[in-house]
Amino acid sequence: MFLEIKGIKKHYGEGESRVEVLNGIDIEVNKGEIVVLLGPSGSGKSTLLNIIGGIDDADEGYISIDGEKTADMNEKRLTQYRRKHLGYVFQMYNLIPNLTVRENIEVGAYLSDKALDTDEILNTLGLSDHADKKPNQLSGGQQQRTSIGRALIKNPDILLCDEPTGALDYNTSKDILKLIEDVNKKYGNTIIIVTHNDAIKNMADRVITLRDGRIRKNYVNDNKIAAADLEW
Amino acid sequence: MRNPLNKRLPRELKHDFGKYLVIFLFMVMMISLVSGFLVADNSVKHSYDEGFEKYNIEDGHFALDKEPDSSLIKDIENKTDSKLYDLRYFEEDEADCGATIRVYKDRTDVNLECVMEGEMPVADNEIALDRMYAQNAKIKVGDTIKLAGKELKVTGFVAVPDYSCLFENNSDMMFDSTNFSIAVMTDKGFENVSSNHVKYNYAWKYNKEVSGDKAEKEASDDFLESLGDVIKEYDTKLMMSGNTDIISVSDYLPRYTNKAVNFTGDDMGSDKATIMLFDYIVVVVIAFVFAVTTSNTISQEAGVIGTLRASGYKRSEIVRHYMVLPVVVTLVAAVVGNILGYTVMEKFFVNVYYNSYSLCTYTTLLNAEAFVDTTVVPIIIMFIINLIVLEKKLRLSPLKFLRHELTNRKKKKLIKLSHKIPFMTRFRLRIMFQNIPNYLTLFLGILIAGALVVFSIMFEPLIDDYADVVKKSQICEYQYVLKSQAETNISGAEKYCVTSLDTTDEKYMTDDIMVYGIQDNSKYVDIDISDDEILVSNGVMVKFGLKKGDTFKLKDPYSDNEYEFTIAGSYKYDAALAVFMTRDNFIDTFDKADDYFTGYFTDKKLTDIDDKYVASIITYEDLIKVSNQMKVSMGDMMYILKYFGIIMFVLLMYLLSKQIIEKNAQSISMTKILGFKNGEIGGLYIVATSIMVVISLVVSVPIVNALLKWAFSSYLYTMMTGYIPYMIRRSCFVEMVILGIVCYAVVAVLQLVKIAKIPKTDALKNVE
Repeated sequence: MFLEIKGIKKHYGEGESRVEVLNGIDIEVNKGEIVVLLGPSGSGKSTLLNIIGGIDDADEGYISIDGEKTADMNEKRLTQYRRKHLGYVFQMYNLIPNLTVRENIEVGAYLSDKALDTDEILNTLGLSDHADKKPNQLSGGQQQRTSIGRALIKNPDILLCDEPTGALDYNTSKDILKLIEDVNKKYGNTIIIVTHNDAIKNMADRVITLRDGRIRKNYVNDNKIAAADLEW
Repeated sequence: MRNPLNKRLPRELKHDFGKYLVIFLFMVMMISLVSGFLVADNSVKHSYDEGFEKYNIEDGHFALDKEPDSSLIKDIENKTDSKLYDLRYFEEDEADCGATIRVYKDRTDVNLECVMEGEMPVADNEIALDRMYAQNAKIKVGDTIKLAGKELKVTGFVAVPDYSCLFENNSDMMFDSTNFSIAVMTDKGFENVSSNHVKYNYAWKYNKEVSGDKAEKEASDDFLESLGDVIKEYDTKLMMSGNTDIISVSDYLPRYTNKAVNFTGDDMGSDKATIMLFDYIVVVVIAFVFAVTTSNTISQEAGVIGTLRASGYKRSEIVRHYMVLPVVVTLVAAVVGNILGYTVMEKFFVNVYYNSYSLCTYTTLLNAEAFVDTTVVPIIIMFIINLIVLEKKLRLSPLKFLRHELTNRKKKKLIKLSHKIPFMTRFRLRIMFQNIPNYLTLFLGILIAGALVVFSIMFEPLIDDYADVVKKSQICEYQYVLKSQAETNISGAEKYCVTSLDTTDEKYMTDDIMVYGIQDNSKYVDIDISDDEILVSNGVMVKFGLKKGDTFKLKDPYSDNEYEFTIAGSYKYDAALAVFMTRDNFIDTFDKADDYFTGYFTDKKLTDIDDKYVASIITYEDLIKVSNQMKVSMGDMMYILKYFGIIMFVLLMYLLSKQIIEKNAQSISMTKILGFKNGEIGGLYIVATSIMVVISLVVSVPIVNALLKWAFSSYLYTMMTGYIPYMIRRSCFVEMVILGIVCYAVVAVLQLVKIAKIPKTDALKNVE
């Protein structure tokens, strides 16, 4: 098993305001799968993604990637873990305003010794014509493509996408989802997408639905359809 | 692969060019000032010290009332184991301005002249004057002066090492380069003009090198004793041969007590305490400004930092990234500042010295201390303060950055405001509450800049007030210091004893303490203490942090004798650092004869004492000469500090109020979208900040007062000799507040322009 999530529990607050965000999550993900984590606001899906990403810690349980557990890692090792295995895409693109598109992507390349070719990524993302533009000269979709490029260029084992289409319109969202699908096919990365958009589950290999910190559904999607054909 | 984040740095510099430029210019200004001062101080001091050997300075001089024959000179040389040099001179008043000109022959062996401008006289009707005097008297090379009825052409200006400070008499309390000068003529010219006013002055140099105050005193005592013996023997021979025209010593001055030689060296470096205090304050302030702006940048870029950290960037890589610009700006400012320091500013400060003293030429020296203080220290301070701030800020988890949760504090409850308060006032209050951390920072900036401004403007009135205080605590109208004991019949004259001892506390620089022995029931000094107690002047109490019952330890500068006194209280006397004891105690302590005394306190002139017994008469004018000269010496320095303080005011207000506007750019943009006009928005944000500026200025006043008082006692007093009481006129604080308001008015206009430039789209943009 490539990614193993075992017995993850997480709470926020204490006393009366204590909220159990995750209440014993067990998930297994195969290498190269696209996993969609679905659920309403407050269901714990972003928290779970952050724990997988090593930027939040669990009260109990562990995450194991390729046999490497994160539970006992100190901050230094966690940083190395993220550097080696993970790519992050957020709803807010968080691009560096005074770097060009190419340079923003290179920020990711710097972290890896097996980085992909920048021009190839720019081409894959359809950003070749915008490579020398600054983020504020791009549309929202182009900015999100750039942030995907930044995460992708270091060829991460797992690409974590937190509401990647949350700030985008219908057509741009579909473009981005198609891009994620293409990336998965081309580079074979494991991709975990957190979304509250129910339609996106249809492009996943595995669908996990969370509610109140528990897994309500966890199934392999046998009726997977192409991102381009998604409707909502 | 090179870190692509580095590509941001020049763009960041360009983007926030205004901010970096003002900080850079400010640092360049500060570093060039401090570097220039330290380099000038070190170079001139080095040349002064070196001049002792270079110009073969005397070990002392004495004068005889008649011209001695060569055998007497030979005898003196043999008996005193030294070599004598004929340095005879005559004195005349210069016809045009009445200044006393002391004319020497061209010196060839000792106390050599250094030609500062023009040439040495060649013809008999030519003269070279002291450069400092000529400058004050506005005499130029080629001018003619009239001396003893003869017209002499000024061929050049000189400096001689035995008059680096123009003291006419060693007993003068202060030098006078306006009414006294030395001059040099050819031998023939000297003979033509000198007539009958020649003083037979001889400089001596020991055959064996003598160094150190104690050794010099011993050597001088031996020299004086031997000189006396030789003269006595010579006179005895004369009288035995029937010649009653005996010779006697009319003046005697070893180099180590010669103010004209030593005052300059002692005074040099006294401004160093002020400039170093200034240096450290400014470096801390700039580091503080950088820390605030860096902290603000991190808040603005929280999302990016969170993403980078989540992607695997190490905290150290991010810390390094944000550290580069402050450190590089400091480094470049240090380089530019040092270049300016060694060129432009060095000359400025050298001129400050050359406007006070008759110094010989100097060579600019590289100064390791200046390099450390102006380059290494600022970079280290910048590095450490930024590192602390960045480490603290960036310690948060990537998640906190992504969520823009940059503080661990829980969200405060909203402060309720009555609806009776007009809407715009409530809006302003909300802005103030929202920006409390920024206003606290602004307050701190105003406090430090205010302290600098007050520090720079306090000295001139302080010195005036000090003169008043000196007047009020003056012991008597005329304080006679006698060369040897002489009696008077003038009523009211009261004998006293005095000696000078050195302080021993190593925390402070060595101070001369005047120790007075006061006779019982004195009408001039009202002391009521027992024979084993002392009173100390209030300055001693304040400067050395002493109190009643403490022991005050002093030592004789020329022997190993140390003295411990128990303090019975303080005596109001501000003219000097002094100790008062009973005359009996003085005689007992210093092992003097029962009838020993040093001079008289009197409110009338003692007309019945021959001038030859009088070493000096100290009057109020003499006492305040010190403060007047201090005003002249400190004038240039304080002028610089004042304008530097004002610039710092503007800079800090600009940078910190800019932070507030930038932090609120989105809100400002939103109010524009809602339909507020630029003027109205300015009325909200600028007026809110203006109110806080005025409050900060007013609140700063008592704090600045306490801060400067602390700086005086814990820093300035340890770095300077003598004492000046801590007194600040209220007008200084009024000036500080007015200057602060005026400076903010300028800044407010700039901020209004900035507000007008904020686009409406800002409110709709991604946070980053």
